[in-house]
Amino acid sequence: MERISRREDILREVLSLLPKKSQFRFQLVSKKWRSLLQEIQRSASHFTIPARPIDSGLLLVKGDDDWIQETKFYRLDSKGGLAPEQDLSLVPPLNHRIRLIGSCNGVIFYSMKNVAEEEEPYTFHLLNPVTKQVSNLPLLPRDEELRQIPLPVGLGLALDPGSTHQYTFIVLYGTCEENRRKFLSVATFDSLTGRWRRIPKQFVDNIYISGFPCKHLKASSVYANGRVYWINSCYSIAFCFKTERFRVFMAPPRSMLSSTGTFWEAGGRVYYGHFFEIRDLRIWVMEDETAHPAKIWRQILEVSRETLNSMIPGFCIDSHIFGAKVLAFDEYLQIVFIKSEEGHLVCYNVVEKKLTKVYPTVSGFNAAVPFVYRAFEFPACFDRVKDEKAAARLDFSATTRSGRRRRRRRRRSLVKAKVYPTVSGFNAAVPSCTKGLRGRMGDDQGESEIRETIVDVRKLKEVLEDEDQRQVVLDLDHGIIWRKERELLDFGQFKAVEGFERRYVDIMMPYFEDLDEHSSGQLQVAPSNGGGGGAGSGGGSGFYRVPPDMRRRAGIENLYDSKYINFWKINDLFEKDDDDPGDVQTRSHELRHYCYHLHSFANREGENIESLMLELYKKREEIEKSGYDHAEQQKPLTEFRNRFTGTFKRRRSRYSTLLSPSYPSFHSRHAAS
Amino acid sequence: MSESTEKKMVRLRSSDGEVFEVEESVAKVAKTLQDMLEEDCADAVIPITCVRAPILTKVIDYCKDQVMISSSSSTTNNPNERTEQERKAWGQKFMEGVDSSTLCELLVASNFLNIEGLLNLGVDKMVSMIQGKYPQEIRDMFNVVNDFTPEEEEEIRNQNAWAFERDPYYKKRSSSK
Repeated sequence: MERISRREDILREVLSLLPKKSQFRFQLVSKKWRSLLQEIQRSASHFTIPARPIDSGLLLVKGDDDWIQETKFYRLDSKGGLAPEQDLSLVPPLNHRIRLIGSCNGVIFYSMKNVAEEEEPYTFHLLNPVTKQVSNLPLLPRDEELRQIPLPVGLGLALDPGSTHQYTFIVLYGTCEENRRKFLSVATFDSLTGRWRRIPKQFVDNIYISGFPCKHLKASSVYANGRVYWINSCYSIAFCFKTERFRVFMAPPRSMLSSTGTFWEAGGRVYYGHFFEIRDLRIWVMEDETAHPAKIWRQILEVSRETLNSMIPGFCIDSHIFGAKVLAFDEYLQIVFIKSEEGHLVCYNVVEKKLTKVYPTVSGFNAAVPFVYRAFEFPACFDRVKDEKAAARLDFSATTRSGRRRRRRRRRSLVKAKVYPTVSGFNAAVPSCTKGLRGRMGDDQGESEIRETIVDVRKLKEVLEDEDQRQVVLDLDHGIIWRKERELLDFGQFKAVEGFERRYVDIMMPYFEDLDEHSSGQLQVAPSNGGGGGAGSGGGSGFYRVPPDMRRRAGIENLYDSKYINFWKINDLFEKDDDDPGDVQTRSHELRHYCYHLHSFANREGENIESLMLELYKKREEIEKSGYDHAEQQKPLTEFRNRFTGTFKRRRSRYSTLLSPSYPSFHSRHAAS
Repeated sequence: MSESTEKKMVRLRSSDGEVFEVEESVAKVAKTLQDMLEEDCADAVIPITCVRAPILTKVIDYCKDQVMISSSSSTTNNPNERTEQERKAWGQKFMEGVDSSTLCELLVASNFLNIEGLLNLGVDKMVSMIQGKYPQEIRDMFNVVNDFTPEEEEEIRNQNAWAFERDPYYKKRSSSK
């Protein structure tokens, strides 16, 4: 080893290949090393985007859509392999959600929200993965006229590679005013001035603001060449800082079937990648702004599904929700990172035209943010906005120990959480044995697309103490209660309660109609009330076919010999005012109590629950056959309801769902299938 | 190229006097030897003064393998041809079990003989060996004397504090007092 340290030429070669962190560390070895390393760093000039692939990385994001559950930083090696950064990860603190907005010249830009406190605003932060520094950005500006914080449609960060002492935080607003004219405006926060500045609104044509997926601060953005870009499935918006003008043009051509595209910045250019019609991998690059608006996207890569399939057997691109997704493109290595159907990371080498799996296999990631390592410390002016609490809340060293501790704590208390991304207009949901919760969604206006959503149960773990349930759905397979609350879908986990499944099963109502099997394997989605009915807030409940093995597990095999189980009965089951929400004991007691009530009611009336239910359904069908007159329809139903709910008036609302006109009839359901 | 079946042999002498006889094509993998062979000295033993016998054996192993690859791949695309991944794996295997002192000698030898591939392999190995280590470990490894005063050391640490966190070899001066 001594020999090497004397051989400066070899030593220099070795040291120049080291990661930035080690380069800084080894400056302390001796004076000679320090001068050597400083020389290397000067020549490499880390303030420009480094040419060495060793200095680029990938931030993989685990979680629902873009709410982060876990992040992992990976360093790309020169061959396209990934090496995890041991002591670096971004973990949201308890009750907090992190959402990545993007990365810009070596800085990760993310937002954080305390989900336990609805009132608490979003906070925004910068993170340098090299120095692990966190800087707080200002809160969103308040509109004094409106006396509220207007909801932006997009967020962005501009940080030039040359000037590390300055950033600009940009917020995009979209308004739709009289004559359906659409306006875009931005507010910018400059770290030098430390002040928000509003740039007057500009009229833009041909754009659906409402169709922009930036609602609820979901928008990610990229910054390149003095412009911030936001891209959704239809449009690209560019805001130029110099001219302070917007430019709106089309997104790369895609059909309804195309997978969700991803866009990113590399070497000053904007790229867009997707699987066109769930078939072909396509990468687009944005041409110079002077190009014709229709030709602004140039396709640089197209690989057919068959080709991809032949490289990795079994690699398939089938579904546009859970299917393969283009994650990022590394321009130094000319590698496209793709999430495969199984959730593994694979990479496509553009030069060698090869698709390979990435080892070690990493899976379960939904998104990736490419970034470059730049070792610079945030200047003091970055921290104009002091919020030490927020900074302290971040836990960078996600050691397994703390993770375990947190998990244990979760299990002890009643676990409840909100489902993110917030899904609204949910009309139906079903617990699926394989994937999780499944449902159709679409909003009342019918403007936004209706799409099927499947929420993977395994991904939902966050804790939230929250009350006021509306609709509950059971997932026996995972021991989870799903409920609809204020148009959001929530869930609570009851796995820890011993024998809870049995208790639930006792109160679940079987559905008698011997329906044909809609599909095999998966549970069936109750059709949403879609066009008819128009129930906005009332909401239907779901019918679910329960597979035999699940029934066996739940112990209901002998109880009801039915294929269908209706979960609507669990409505307002937990309606308790002064209970400790976290007390599982109380809740399970409640369940038992309710069960007892129902059974005793049935016994007293000399009927069984089945016949009661059947009667109810028959009445409903009668009404529907005889026409759809609201007042007429309500009369017999009210009559029946009074009889049925007479025993426990306090809980009358329980049956309102079933009796509400928006409830889908069997016939309509048959027709739909 | 030459039609003579008899292959030309080259003799190399290591620093400790051992003589190795290798084919000329193998020796030519090393740029330094190639230059020497092209100029003159056909039959004489080439002294390689800075390389010991065990290291030279390893170097020759590498050269032989390179010759095998290039000859096989140039004729036909037969199964011997390696993909990028196999080459990587082979390089790893070749460097496996090489300790730090051998590695240093290998680096010096490949630098002297001007074998780029071997040098790259060695540098990569060296990088993976030392990255993430702490200054004191590096000093021990390379036998470097710390010529910083405690004050200077403190200053450098403070400049780039993020790079030095959790250094087990470093005791804060305030805590040691």
